[in-house]
Amino acid sequence: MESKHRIQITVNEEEHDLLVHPNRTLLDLLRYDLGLTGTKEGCDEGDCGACTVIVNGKVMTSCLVLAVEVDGAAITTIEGLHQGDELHPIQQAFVDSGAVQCGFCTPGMILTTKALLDEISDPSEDEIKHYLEGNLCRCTGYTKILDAVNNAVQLLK
Amino acid sequence: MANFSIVGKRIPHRDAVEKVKGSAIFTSDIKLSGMLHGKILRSPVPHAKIRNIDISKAVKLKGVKAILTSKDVPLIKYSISPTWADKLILADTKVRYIGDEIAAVAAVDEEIAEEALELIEVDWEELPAVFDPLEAVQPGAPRLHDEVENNISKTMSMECGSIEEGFAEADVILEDTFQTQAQSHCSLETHCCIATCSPTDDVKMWVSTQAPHPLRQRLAATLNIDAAKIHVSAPFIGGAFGNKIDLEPAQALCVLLAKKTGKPVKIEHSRKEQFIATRMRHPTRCKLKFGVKRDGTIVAKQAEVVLDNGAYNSHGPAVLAYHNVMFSTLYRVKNIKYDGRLVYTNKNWGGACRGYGDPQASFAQEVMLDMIAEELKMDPIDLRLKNANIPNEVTANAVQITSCGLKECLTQARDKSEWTTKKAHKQKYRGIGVAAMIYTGGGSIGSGFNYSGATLQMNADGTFHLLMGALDIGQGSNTVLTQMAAEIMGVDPESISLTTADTDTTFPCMGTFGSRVTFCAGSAVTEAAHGLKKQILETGAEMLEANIDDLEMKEKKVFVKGSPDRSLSYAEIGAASFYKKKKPLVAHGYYNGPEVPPEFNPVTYEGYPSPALVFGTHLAEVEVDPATGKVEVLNFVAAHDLGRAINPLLVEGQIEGGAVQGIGWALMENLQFENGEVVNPNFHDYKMLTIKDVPKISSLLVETVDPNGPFGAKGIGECAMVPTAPAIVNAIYDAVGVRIKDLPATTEKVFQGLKTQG
Amino acid sequence: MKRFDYIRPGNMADAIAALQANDEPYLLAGGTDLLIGMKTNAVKPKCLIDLKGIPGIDCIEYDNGFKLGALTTVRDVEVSPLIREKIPALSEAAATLGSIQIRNRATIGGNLCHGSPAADMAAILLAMNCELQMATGNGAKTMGLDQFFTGPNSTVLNRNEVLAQIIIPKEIGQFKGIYLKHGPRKAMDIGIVNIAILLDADVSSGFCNQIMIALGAVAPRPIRAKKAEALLNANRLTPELIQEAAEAASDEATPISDFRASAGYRKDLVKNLVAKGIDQILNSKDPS
Repeated sequence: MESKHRIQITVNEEEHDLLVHPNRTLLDLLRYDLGLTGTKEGCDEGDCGACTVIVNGKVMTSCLVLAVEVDGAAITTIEGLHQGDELHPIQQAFVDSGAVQCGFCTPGMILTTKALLDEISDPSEDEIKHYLEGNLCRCTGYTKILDAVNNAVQLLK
Repeated sequence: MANFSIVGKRIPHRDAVEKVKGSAIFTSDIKLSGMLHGKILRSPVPHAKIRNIDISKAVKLKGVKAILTSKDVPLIKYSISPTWADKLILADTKVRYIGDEIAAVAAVDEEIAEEALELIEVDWEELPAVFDPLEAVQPGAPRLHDEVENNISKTMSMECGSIEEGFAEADVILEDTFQTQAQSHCSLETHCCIATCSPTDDVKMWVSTQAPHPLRQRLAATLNIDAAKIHVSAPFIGGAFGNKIDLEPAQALCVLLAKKTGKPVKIEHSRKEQFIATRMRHPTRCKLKFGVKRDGTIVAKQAEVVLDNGAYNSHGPAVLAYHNVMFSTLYRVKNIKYDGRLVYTNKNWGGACRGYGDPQASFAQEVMLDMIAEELKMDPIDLRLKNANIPNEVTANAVQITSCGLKECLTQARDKSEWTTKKAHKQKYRGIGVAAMIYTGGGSIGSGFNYSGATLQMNADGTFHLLMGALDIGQGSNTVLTQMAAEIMGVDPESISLTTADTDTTFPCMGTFGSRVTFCAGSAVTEAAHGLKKQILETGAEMLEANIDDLEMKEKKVFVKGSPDRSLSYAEIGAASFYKKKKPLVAHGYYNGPEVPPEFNPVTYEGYPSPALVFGTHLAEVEVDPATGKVEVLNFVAAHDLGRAINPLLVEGQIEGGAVQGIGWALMENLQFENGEVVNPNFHDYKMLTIKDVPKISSLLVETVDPNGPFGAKGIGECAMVPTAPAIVNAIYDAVGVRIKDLPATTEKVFQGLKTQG
Repeated sequence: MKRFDYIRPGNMADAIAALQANDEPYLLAGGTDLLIGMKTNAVKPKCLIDLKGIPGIDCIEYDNGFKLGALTTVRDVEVSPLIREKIPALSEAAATLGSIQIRNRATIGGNLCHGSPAADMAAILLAMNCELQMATGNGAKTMGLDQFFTGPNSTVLNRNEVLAQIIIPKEIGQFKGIYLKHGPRKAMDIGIVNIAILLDADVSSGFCNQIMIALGAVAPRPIRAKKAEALLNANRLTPELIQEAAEAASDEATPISDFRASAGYRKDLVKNLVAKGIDQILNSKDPS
């Protein structure tokens, strides 16, 4: 009863072999077992998008994913985007556009943008808004986040 | 106008790189070895006597390390001021709202701490509760605090000129009542703190706070510990909006749990706790009576106000004072009467929330002005221009205004929004609305305190290190304040290293609130920078054997004017100061202003002492769907007088974020209570706007260059949401003739308004 | 979240066996409703049976009609080129559910089985006359979606039954559809009222061959507005008749008042949105 399960996952191209209780969420696994604290907890109910990560190419709120469910998956967190000191173009665009204030929504916002631009390289404004609808931000009013996504599109061209 | 090389530039946030990499450390990211997890047992009932608390089962649970009830903690009441202290960190005999702290547990993990809470048994004697402030003041209403009659925590009455004569002079008198609802701050990071405490009470706390130095003082007072033994440090802060100024019971309990267990303890609020048991914007009921002349001159204005305090004071008394000040100071009106009451109810309690009572005052006054404009058949912008404040005036309530760009805000917003054309060619279901605002652009010394300190030192290699108590909660003060120092020192702002938000290493700062950091901390930083510049020049003069008046500083060098060969690099001066002269160069700046004028009346808040007042205008264009009552904001223009924009990129960020918070409050944000219980304590039922719901915000920066502000700057942080709601509501009226007088303007209210029209 | 056991069966038979063998078992699909319920202690499963290990349970099959595996994610429904081409209203309804992060996890079957009266997939599929195929301890069984919901958060599913497939009939392809959801925001909302309409009409004459109208969030379960449909079926869609039908639909709604909206407002919304939806279909340019 309630025994631990063994899972193997790849996070930011690094393989992990772990024993987890079924009630461990992917969010807590990343933050507390793997020390990847760039993924943030904002609501723990899938409503805010701060805990967004990319699982097998798809964005998910990691607070609503059990670690046991992602056995075998490849996961990208915010820590997996930049190469050393060199920022990913999306990260750079968020910095340059003033799209970062308190920074708590930022990792989720950037990962959602990453998934968007992987899927649609030159999205319309409606497509950007549709993709980012689940990432809440209280600081920026979103104007500069839209700017950042548009600037990222240019940087990636 | 002065030419600056760094001030006025669009420089990205200096912390942004760490934040986009996910390497910025917030409090909840910190894990100390042996760290325990704390949880708080909260009252499930709105009003009850505590007969007994039985922790016997909970202490036996494996993994539980400590449990605190009121027997284990100092019973010292606190508030933001000792005068208003009414809250214990753990309830002793009585709980007053759903969420009141009863007990605290520390355990080896959160799961066990939560399980322990379920095992604590509380024996209640439930009491009748009161939720409506108008009922709470009636004779025989349940009383929250034994010593407070009629549940009235504070009253505030003021009359300037003669209200009676004013109304006698008026051609038209209008009266109406306006109501506003509770708003939650919704910083994406919840409250979190980690404490260690030695057996001799040496406390270290990492905490998500807007005000580390005041927090140290309040922890000291509440826990009976010498403040000097408490070290408060704030890592990155995930937003705050006023909710992280107070002492939180969790913070004090965290220290006590750490003390009892001898281990580090972390307490992190859940989102639900954040909604039900941290502060919110005070709901208000505001009855207004305005007297105007046919030409639009407002000759008398009167307000009767009830602020719903909730169960405890927090900032309530000061929010009431600000509601009065901002209502009374906006526009040139000779005769003013204000009567306000702050009333306890058995609900979550109000606190500081972006705008500090001003959005509530603005909503009532600015909708009333729209109604007056209609009555007088006058353009709403012309009506405001007619009564607008002007520079260097003293208002009827004895407030000294220095710089003032209200008229410029009104006219520039009018032009940008194409107001005149849109008014002339109205489309069905579309409308445009305006509202204006006043606020402080630098906190206030009404309490006797408005302090910020800074230290700037030159390192041995000629670089600079800036230490300041002020902290960046996302608004960008680290960037803006280093820009100011960099402008004076002639260096790249990124090259100045920073220590902030740490009580042991920086001069005290009141904290990041009151739109005060740019002005107050900026004044301290510029003072320190000018002081250090003088020291560098003095050192240079001595080393170059030149007259100080003949020296110039440029490109990290000190040189004799006209003889660039006779120069010293900053590195040479830095090295000499440390190793030859053994007197490192360091300068301090400290602000605590303005001087309190003799006119200041701390009871009525006449003569309100703000270092600088700021003004603004919001213009909203909306479209209403008659089938549902849904309001879409199509265009939004926000003009703000901010003295000078030290960093326009960051200023725009403040305006855009504030306006969107204001649109949310105008249309849907509402912390809803049923019998004292919050029924929407989550982000799916508490409606923060999504990226799909927001219009493009056009910001207009009106630079009036304040005579006292650093580089002429004034604050902006809170201001950007003050006039938003009335602008939206006035636009709805323009669109469909439905006048919303109680916020939020939900789709249902707009729809019912349309239905009533038939 | 309290502790529980986790089982990931590799086929449907094992899933049904696990359902019967464990104490307080819950089926786990996307988990976007279930895990929230567990975090708030609204439900306390002792065992989660994860259906995602069952091969083929997340497939979209098209053979004039559609067969959607119960574990097809809502995002896959939203972006499927075939669904967008043949029955775009389903894709449009899917696009209104939660966020992209949620739609990447939430499944069409999970959305139905959670049994919320406001479920976005429920109203649109109800209007599409879809059938459900269940795997049971005693073989497969089929039923109409209109028989499936029994009340708020409850369905007819028995302890030994698993929803396997949602079948959308062939003839739905000839209908034009629309999904209207009213909430305060433009995204991330639970609908205050959801309306799904499928209409087969002759555009030039305005003659209605057949219409299906489903209403969400206005009754203990998602419902069909049968009286409104009867008024419109085999009739010319005049503005007066549409108005009459919209009022009939409103009469069929039995909403509650809660903090989200009053019952009266919900009924008004049903009326206005049914009329608006029919108008929008009639005036839409590209046929679907």
